[in-house]
Amino acid sequence: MSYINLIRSLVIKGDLNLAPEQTQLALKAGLSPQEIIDQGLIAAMEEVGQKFAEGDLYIPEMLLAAKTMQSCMEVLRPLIVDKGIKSKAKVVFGTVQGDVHDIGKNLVIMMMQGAGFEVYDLGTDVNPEKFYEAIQLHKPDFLCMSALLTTTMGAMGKTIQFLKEKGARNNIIIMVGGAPLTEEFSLSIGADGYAPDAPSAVVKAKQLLGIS
Amino acid sequence: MITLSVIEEQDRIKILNGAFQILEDIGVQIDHPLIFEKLCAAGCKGDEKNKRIYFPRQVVEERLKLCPPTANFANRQGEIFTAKPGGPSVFWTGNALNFTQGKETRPIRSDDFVAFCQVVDSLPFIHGLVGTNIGEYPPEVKDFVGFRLMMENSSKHLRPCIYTPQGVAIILEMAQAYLEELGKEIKSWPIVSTGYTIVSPLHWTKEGLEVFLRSAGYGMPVMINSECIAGATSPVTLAGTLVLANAEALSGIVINQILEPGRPCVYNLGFSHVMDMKSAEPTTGAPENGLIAAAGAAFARDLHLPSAAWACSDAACVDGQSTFERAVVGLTQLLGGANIIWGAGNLEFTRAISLEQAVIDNEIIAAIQRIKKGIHVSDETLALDLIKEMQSQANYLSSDFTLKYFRQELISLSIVNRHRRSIWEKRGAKTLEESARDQVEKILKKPRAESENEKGLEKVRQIEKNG
Repeated sequence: MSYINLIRSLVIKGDLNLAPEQTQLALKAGLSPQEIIDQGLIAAMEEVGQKFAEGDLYIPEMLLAAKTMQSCMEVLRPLIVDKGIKSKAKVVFGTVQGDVHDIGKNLVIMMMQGAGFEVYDLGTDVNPEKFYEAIQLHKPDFLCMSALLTTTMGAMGKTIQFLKEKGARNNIIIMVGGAPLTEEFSLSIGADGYAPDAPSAVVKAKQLLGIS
Repeated sequence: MITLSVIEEQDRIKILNGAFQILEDIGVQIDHPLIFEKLCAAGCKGDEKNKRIYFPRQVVEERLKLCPPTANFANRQGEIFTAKPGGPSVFWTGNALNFTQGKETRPIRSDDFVAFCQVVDSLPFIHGLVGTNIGEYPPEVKDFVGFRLMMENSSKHLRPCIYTPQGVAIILEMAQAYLEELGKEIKSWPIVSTGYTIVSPLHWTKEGLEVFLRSAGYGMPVMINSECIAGATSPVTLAGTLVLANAEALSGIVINQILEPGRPCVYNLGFSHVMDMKSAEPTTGAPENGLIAAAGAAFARDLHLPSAAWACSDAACVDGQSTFERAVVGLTQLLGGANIIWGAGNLEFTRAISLEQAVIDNEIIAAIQRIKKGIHVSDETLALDLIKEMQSQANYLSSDFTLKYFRQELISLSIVNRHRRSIWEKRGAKTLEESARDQVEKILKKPRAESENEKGLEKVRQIEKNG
């Protein structure tokens, strides 16, 4: 089996010991970090995402695969920085002001990282100013906001309005999600996209970015 | 009365000891500065920087002693249900975001909610009405607008859905104004109750604590809810979830007894979910939901407190799943001894309400309450004389004994089919949902009686306008 295929299957299986080991060996054998990331790690997570969406994988198994992928990324990270290798996209995440729920957000983050996105997680109860500051600092392609309560989902619209006033709205794609949200709501507040669950969030993000 | 024990006493002791340990060693995040201060003054240890309160066991046990062992819930027909450990159970509806009819769903509108209140008002086995989202109103007013709609359209006990602390204050004002017209007060006639849910794990938000604070001092019963999601916000093991849930509910008891010593509290572990490990949804119709709630009722009995639960279904529409899940979970919770069981009319992980499901649930509740009632044995019901009289003749149907006892022995349900197929076909070959739909239409066509306290309702409407 080739190194790439082996790394891919170890990530899918969630082998936290062997996967990073094989990543090291693959590098020693002369494979490039980009090749390992694209054909090994991201390809593995795409397969994981597919299996999960079809109901063939449980969430803990998916999370283990994501963790395994991250452990391989840690092996590659010094080389990524050296060679200036870019992620697919940069994303800033946060649960909006007044809301402290984050399970769904954390699942989406895991899946986005698995898809090769670079994620900055602001945590929960994030006010519009903090979102703005993060956008200024990290210059992300995407902003993703999450809310679980009907009393806090209004903060999404306020955040978008704040970004408009600061002149920061046009350069960023905004996606929203959370239990009480709907597609209609997301359009009404001026978001670019909405996803009802973690796997479809990644699909939607790629769609909005125009990437595969 | 039939009961179900899902957890042995020695296991409950282990779990409760675990909960006390969590409260002492890990503590709870308390976001409300005033309540933080009060907890410290009451003997808890506080870490101000991290907003963390550590609850010594002694403090918890002292505050538990202040809790009355009962909580009363009144309707506006003068009936009071007393929730007490080991006592009977009642079923309420549950809150929701959406209104489902057939396979369609939409955010609940006020006319949907009015119809729901009116249907539930006619259903004899549902005793309480819980507020819901009202889609066309902003969050700041949803709770007290919803309360006014409930007051106008149902005389059941009312548990409005609280969106803001200001909302609970306005609702209290409305309830008091209504009762004043009848020369009554909330304490002796609690037509409304409240409650709030901790954010698991171990985090009371400022909003939740403010709701407790603003509703304290009136003798109004408060439901203290732990709503863990096993595998997501609590350990995946049910025992681990029960440790956390007990710790959370106990912290809520301490807080409420500090704010209002002697306030009636409902100890509620029964809202807890288990995470579905494929869909990431917090289930409500899984058998484990029944187990957790039944165990929760047992813990409440140990602590001499009334308990609650939520019997729902994860089905997205009225179908076989929406009936079997509710029946299985509801029966487990009922036999386990939960005193107040939410969920009548709920669908889709409690996200939706349905008029037809409410009617069907009324029947399910009637059936499972009958099971709980058990078998009444007396010299009369042994029917020895009758058996001697009948000998080998099957004439029981026409006997006076049957006429005397059939109503109390055999429950009569309204919409289930009890006819053979040929008659079922002649009667329209209706599914359960279709029969429920017929009953909904019948209820909604009936003219509604005038309110017994129109002056009180006028005051409620005026307060809403000012709010």
